[in-house]
Amino acid sequence: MSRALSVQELHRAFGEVKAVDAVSFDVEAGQICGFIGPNGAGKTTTMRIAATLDLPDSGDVLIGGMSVLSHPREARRQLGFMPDAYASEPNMPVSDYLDFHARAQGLRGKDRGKAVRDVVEFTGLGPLMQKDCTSLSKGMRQRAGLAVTLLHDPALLILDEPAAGLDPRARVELRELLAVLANELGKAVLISSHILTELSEICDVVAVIEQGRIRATGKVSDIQKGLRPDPVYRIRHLGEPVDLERFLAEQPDVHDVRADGEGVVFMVPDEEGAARVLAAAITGGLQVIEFRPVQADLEEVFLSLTEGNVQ
Amino acid sequence: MTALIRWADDRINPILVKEVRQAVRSRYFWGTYALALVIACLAGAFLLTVVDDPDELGQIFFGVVYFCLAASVMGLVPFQSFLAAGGNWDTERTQILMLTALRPRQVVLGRLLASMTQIGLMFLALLPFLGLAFLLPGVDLAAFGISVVTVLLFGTFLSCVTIAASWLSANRLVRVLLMTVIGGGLLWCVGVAVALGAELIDSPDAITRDEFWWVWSALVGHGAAVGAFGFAAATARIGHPEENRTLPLRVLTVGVVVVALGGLYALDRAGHGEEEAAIAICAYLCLALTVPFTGFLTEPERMGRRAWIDVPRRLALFTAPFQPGGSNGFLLMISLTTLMAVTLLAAPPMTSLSPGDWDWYEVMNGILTAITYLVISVGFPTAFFNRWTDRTAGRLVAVASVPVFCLACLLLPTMYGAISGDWDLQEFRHVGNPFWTMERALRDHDAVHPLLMVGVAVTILVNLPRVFRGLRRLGLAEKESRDRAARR
Repeated sequence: MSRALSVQELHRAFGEVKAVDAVSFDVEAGQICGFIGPNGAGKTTTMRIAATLDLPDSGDVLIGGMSVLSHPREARRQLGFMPDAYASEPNMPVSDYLDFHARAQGLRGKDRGKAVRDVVEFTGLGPLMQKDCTSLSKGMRQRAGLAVTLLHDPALLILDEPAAGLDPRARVELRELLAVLANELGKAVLISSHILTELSEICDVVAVIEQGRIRATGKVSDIQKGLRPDPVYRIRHLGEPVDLERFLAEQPDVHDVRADGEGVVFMVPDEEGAARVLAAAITGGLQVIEFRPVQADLEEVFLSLTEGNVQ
Repeated sequence: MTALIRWADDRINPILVKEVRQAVRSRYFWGTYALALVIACLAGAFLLTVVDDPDELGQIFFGVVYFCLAASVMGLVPFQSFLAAGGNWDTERTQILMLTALRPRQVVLGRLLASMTQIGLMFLALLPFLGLAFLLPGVDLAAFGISVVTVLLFGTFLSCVTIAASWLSANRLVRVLLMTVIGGGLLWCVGVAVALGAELIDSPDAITRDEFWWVWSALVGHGAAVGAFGFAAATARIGHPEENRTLPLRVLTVGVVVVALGGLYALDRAGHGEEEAAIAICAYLCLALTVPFTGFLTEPERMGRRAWIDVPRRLALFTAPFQPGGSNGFLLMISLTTLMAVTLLAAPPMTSLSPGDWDWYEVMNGILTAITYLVISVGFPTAFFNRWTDRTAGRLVAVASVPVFCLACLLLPTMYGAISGDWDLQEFRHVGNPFWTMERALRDHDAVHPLLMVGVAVTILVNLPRVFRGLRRLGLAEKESRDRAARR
């Protein structure tokens, strides 16, 4: 995979506050990268610098190999930026709105018509083309924003809180669109959101930021592996969890045993160890009804990595 | 034909297309349009029935239609431009525009073209009434033409200024204040235009006098210059910080100085050279330059990278005065004021005067005094605030420091005089008062006041850290540029 976005040692301070402090991470083509962090962590500042809307004090951002500092125009051609609240023009139907942005992107003649048709088809805006932009619902407005972002066929999409304020259906639809963009069209997507469950389902990788510093980057499972070296399993039986806890505590190699409401979770060094535990539980007369590895949970990763500090 | 239309359609400014499409759907535009027509119709019908003297009918009717034209073209259209461009900040539309393939100048030009289209439509709507006014007795064709052309020109210039003003700040409070100031300013301009138009129609013979054309040219020239600065300022505001966005403003400033010096020289060659005129022009120029230099000297200093990318390496250092950043602004001010002084000293515009003549020194002293005041009044106070100009509040304080410093120079010695009983100081007869110093230079043949020379030296001294910082940034930019090339 080629590198669509490369953030390199980015620094940005507002007076004494270090909004972004040595931030570095990469996003490959066809990847969806979740950019997560508490409010004031530096997400929007990083995204604005990547989108050429702000300047770093030092460091650089490369988009398709083009520096946003030395070649902002070339970098802009390869990126589509969608702010959290997309602009809607008064006294303008969606068709004119898209036509205007296609013109502004330098698309001419048949190319312009084709680009507009393609994004309308992709985002499903067809039935709304004659509606005034200001009369669109929040979800439809975000779709129109996404359509505008896609008009010039950028290789990288930077989406700042795109799901904020959307109803559950609109969120699911947006998620589906993003999945198609990354998986089928090979676009790189950098997306920030507070809704971690949303991100965990679509993101290939995440970058966790707090107080301007990157706490971790990579696949959620890899990050979790770094946080807890042994795999976690959950076991549930027809009986009291206390019995299960007592049983697990006696098993060799098992550690970090705790009840979590649905059953009991524990860690073992490897799959063989887990198989031994399961066999011992059945042999020991426990009526096991569930035994499964616990997948990496983005929320858990986020809470483990961040301290909830704001600057 | 279809191919030609398609070719034109592809090349027409997208902002113009959007704005016109929006305008024809907006109630504001049609409301204004209808209101102007209704007022003109009602006024016409009313005057035709009321005015007894047929010789005055044309003038009065023209006055009413002219008011409608001036109010819509110089008032409503520029104000609407301000609102339309300014409203973009609320919805991040400006940022979205910045990310398109449109250049900043295309964005501003599109907005300006949209205003000009509206001006054209207003003019066309009122044209039948203007024609009727002309056909009625009492309206001179030349006076009529000049009045209308002047209003149309100033409508365009004012639109440039309001577009620039709308992009000054994203802060709502500042924008409300701006809206009030602009609204008041536009009303004043409409009032002045209507009064001048009425005066011209009333005494059309004025057109035959040379003085009229001097005044008209100066008026239109100033309007064009202010409009051009407004255009360049708006372009600079939405340009990418790395793209040397104040270059057009700096070039324009240099252009104004060169044109002013050239004009002075041409005046002299044409036999109109007078030392008072030379001093007045230079003093005025220095006063006018205070505004752009205040802007240049308070720019955030973080520039230099593009100099090493866009310009051949050996020349990059020489482009420093044209790069953004407060230190580079100071370099531009020093180099321009030196150019002004050297040009005038080496080739005095008043060729009829010889160096041995007292008048020659008089002229030079007057001009140098004006230049000295410019350097001190802008360079000295901003030097103390340049560390904080990367923040909006810091920049505002730095900008405000210029008028505050000037007022302090004027008032503090006077207050001291009031306390100590020094009558001269109380009467503003001190070096902090540029008018008193200039008068002495002119009347009493005084050389530039020694305190002013010390002031210039101190100004340069206190600005040295910022200049060194700017040069160091250029060095860092060169290193960064080299590192980046090596990485690639």
